[in-house]
Amino acid sequence: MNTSILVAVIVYEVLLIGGIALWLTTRQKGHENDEAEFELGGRNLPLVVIVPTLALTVLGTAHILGIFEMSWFMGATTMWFGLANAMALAVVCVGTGIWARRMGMTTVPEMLEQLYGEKVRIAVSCVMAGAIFGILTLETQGLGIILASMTGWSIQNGAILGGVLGVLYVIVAGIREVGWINLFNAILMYVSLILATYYIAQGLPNGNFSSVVDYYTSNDAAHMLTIFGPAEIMLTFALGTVIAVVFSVPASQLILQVAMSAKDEKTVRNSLWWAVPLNGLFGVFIIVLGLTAKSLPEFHALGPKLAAPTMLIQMLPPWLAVMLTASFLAAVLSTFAMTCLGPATIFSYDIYRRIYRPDADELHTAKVTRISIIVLAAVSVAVAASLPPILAAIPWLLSWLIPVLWLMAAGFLWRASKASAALTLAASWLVNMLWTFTDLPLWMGLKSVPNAYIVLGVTMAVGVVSCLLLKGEQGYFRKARTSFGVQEGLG
Amino acid sequence: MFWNILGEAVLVIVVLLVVSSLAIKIQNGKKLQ
Repeated sequence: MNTSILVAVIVYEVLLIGGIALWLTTRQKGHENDEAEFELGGRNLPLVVIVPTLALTVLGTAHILGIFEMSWFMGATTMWFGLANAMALAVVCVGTGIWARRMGMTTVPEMLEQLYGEKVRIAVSCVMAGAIFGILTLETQGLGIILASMTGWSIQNGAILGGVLGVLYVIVAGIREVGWINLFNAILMYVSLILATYYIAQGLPNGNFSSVVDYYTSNDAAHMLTIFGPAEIMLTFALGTVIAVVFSVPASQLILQVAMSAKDEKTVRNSLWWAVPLNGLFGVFIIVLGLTAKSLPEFHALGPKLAAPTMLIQMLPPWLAVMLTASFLAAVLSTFAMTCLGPATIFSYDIYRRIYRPDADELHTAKVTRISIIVLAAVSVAVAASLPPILAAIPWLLSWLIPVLWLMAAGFLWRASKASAALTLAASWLVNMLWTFTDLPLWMGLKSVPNAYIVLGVTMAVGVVSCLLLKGEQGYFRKARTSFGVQEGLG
Repeated sequence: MFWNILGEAVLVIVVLLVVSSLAIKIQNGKKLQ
């Protein structure tokens, strides 16, 4: 089934990954022992690499398979999932990413140690690595499903092939490799999406989307054609997604590792103008294709999961189907690669080097990171097929990171209190567990309230009150400004 | 349909970029102080 498309897609990925890995290996000879070369590209990556990597790191399975499926039920309001990620990127480019680059650290827990001490670093390392690993299993499932749908293989076999490609995406030259591959894939992605949308429109009656609009208006579903859908969906899905994503993703190692790799703060700040639209507009094409598939009887019968992918394979010319599938696969592979690299870096820097081998040099640490990537990928491939569809687990996973963002914001800009940090983490993580695994929401009559709302509420309440009441120091940047002012005054 | 959805998404992104650039301006202003 679709063997020629599959072969062409895999040949493209292997040639691109292999070519860039080879180019970088020759170029980087002699730089292997530079500071954090593998994990952070020597903190010297240019704008052309940072932009697509920021955009593609938070663009994965959920953006493709998730939006195809969700738009079937909610229509264009699903766009808020993509916009929430674009908002999170904006927070990175004007806030957390700048702080991360300025601190000159390698991991988020390492930054937190500067503010709150070693215990907070270790606690956040373990929880953040676990949460990102959860996202990794979702990406692995996505890879398995995409390849399985093309080949007729089992999801397990698809996940194995996807896992191998995903590891190749990062294992040779680390984040520098991911970045350069992403640059080519981002170009391919937009070219193929624009062409696919054009070709699908040409294949419809009248050569445009008017028949799709007629379908939804005649079925009393015109609200599905606007991103500002019914108030109920806006308040539950749209606002819930925005809160869950915007208050967690900007604190994640996954995305901040990219910002830490930028050659300077200006590069992170300037990425805003390109990375935000690049990421945010992707959803428009996916939603339009999803809505079109639902309106066509022959694909409508296949249901929300299969309608759009089948329509694309059947209605597009083979060369374009190859390009589009390759770009979808690349989007998931780039996220897979970063979700492996993030927790692997946390392990090698915050656990291995911090606790067991403080004397380990860059080459040795990079070796540990590489081994961790392979172990993480192997475990995620092993469990991906046996897990239930875990899209629903994403808000729960992201909620673990909400108090981490608060600790960063408070510690940098306001007050850094070790006791308050410990209390805020403990309270918000406990509530996240209770809200998921007990009947607490039912007892409180708040069954439909998502984790993100509750965790954000507890984080803010406990964080603000304890920060005001407990002993602490002035925020990192406030302190730096004050001492700079004092020095200037003395001078 | 495509242009409507694209237009709405672009509108939200433009607002987001304007708010972000204001945040950058405020940060730069603080630095200058």
